[in-house]
Amino acid sequence: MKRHCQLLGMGLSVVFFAGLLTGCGGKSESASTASETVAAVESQEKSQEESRETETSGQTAEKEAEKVSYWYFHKGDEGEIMERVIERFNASQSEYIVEGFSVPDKQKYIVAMSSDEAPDVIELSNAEIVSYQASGLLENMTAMGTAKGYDFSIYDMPAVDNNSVDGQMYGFPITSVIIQMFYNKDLLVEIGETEPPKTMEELYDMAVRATTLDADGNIDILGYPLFPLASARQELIYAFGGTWTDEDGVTPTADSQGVLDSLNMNVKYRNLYGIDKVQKFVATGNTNRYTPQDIFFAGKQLFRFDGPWLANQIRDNNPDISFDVAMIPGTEANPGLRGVSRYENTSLAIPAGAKEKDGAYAFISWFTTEGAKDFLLEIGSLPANNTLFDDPDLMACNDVFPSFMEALKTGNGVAAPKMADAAQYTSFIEEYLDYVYNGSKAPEKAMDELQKMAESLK
Amino acid sequence: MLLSVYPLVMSLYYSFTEFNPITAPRWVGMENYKSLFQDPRFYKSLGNTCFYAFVATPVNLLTALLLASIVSKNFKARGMVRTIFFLPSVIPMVAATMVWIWMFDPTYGFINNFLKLFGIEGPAWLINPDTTMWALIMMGTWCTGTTMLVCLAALQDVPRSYYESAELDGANAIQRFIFITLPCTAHVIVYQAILNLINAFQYFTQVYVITTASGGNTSGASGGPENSILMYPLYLFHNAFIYQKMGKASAMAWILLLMVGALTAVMVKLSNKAVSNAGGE
Repeated sequence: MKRHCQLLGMGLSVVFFAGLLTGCGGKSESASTASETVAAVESQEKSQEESRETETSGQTAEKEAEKVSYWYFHKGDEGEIMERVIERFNASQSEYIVEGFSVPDKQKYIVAMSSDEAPDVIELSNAEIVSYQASGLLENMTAMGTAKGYDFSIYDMPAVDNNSVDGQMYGFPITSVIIQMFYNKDLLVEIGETEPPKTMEELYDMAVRATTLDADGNIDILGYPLFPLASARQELIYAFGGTWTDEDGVTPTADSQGVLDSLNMNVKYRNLYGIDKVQKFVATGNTNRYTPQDIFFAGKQLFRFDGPWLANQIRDNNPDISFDVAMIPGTEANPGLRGVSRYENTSLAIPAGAKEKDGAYAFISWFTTEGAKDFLLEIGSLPANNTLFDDPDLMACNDVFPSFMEALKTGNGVAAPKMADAAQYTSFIEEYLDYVYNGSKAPEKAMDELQKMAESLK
Repeated sequence: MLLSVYPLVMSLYYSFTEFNPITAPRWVGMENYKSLFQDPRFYKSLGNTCFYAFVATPVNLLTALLLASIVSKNFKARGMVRTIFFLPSVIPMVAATMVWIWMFDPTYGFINNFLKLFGIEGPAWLINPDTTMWALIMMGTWCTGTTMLVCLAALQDVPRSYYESAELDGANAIQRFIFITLPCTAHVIVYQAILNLINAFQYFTQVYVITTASGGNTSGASGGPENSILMYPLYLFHNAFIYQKMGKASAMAWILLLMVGALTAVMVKLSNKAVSNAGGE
């Protein structure tokens, strides 16, 4: 009761913030209160439960099975894919019945987990695992898996690391997200090359040769992979061996040599054509991302660091573009960095307040092993389970998957910072990269300041 | 009482605590306020907001007054022109901002292509930190319809005989505007200035859309390029819902409340003075 009152207080304060933000006549989505969100989910659960009870009436075996509630964030077509996974699990055994609920609003997860209304299984990102476990909201999956004989060898180190806090896994990953290098084959041929670059030094050389300007001196074709912005912040840094934190995920390393090397090459390219011209082209690229005017689809970008979904986008928007995918290069000094990328997961976890933990574990254990392949084939994502890295069916489901799988096998995935103030650190990084990209500060000065700011974070 | 006083009191209490949606509030005394006063982004967001408030407000008022002067004249299609000027005010702000993002596109956008007709090469409005704030001010002038309507009503209250007498005395249009229109509508203008300033301190939707919409944030930084459009309410929102520092956000909300309260008190005093001056004349 006390906890509910506290939540009500928090919720009303959120309304107060929203009121300040939007003025008297405004409305805000943020104004939904904690009690409203819990009530909404309870209502959804109740109606689905009633519907299921009607469907299963008369089926004595299913009535005896324990119910396991599962909240996933997919909706629409992807939600239907998730429902099919649940159907397959329910058909595979008779001990538990998993009931799925599409809950795209992450605030509902937080409210439910902190008010004793937790579902038994939740789908979440690896970043959320770190955030939730900081408040002790998740069940220790290492302990549970070890007790029940789970085969942890199906995960490579980046996957284990991504889902761990203090060396213990709090979620089992189902999908992986990495970024690799798409390139325009025609533009490569135009500069007399047949093979994509294997080092960043080669990439820079090709990028300069491929960059062209129009009559007004504006960039017509962008050689260096400065867009998308997130890739410039992550993969372009990682390719030089730079990372934003030490291996522990919490000690900031913004002023490390790899970060500085990457930024200096970036600035060198910008200065060749004028910062304003480069920024202008990048701005247009950003406004038109994944539209028919996308700079890659329009044949105006030589190298593009992006995810496997880009292949489908190209086919939808301009199938005539001749492209291929290769691993992100390393450097001459460190060629072993090839295939480096941010590494993210969608995972499954058991909230500490879950009521049916054995059933939850049974579902997660099945989903991450037997149930993984069919789900990945339907949803078109890369696996986290390393036994599927060479799976011929998965390889065939997307033309670019073989290159991505090859990159996954390198184990060069880089986890996001795990510090409590990670969101704030990321925000600082973006701000200081702006200073560098706009020429307001030299890389060394900007990163030195960023490092000092980051060291003040928790 | 439950929906206004309780959250107000609780947010004051929360401003002295540290918590996020998961953890219970922990009393930290003045720590949130101290941390804010040592936070460069707090000052940056305050500076950006003050700049916007004190530049955009007069620009918007002048624009509204100018438009009101135009549509107060008798001419054909006056009703249609009034509707056209007012229309932007009824368009949902999120949709309007999305359209503006496209208009600001440096290559395909309407604004730079329009400038090109005059041989001017437009800037990268939303990626250059020197132009982002001016882009917001430009957006603001576009939806001054409501202020224009209020000014129009005030203009129509000015007795025609004043203008006729001034014309007989040989006053030109500018003199008539300065010596008749402005004093006679001062009370309305000051009132509108108060409202515009308060709105400017709550300026959120447009910058939130620009910095979060796909295609809007051309820098990656959460407050636009080099945080050049990190407005106070946006930073408050970041603290509450991105960094999950609810206590710090509550402290920011209270500082904002006190600032807007003080500003309103000053403006009300000015308004009373303007009204008494207008009455005296």
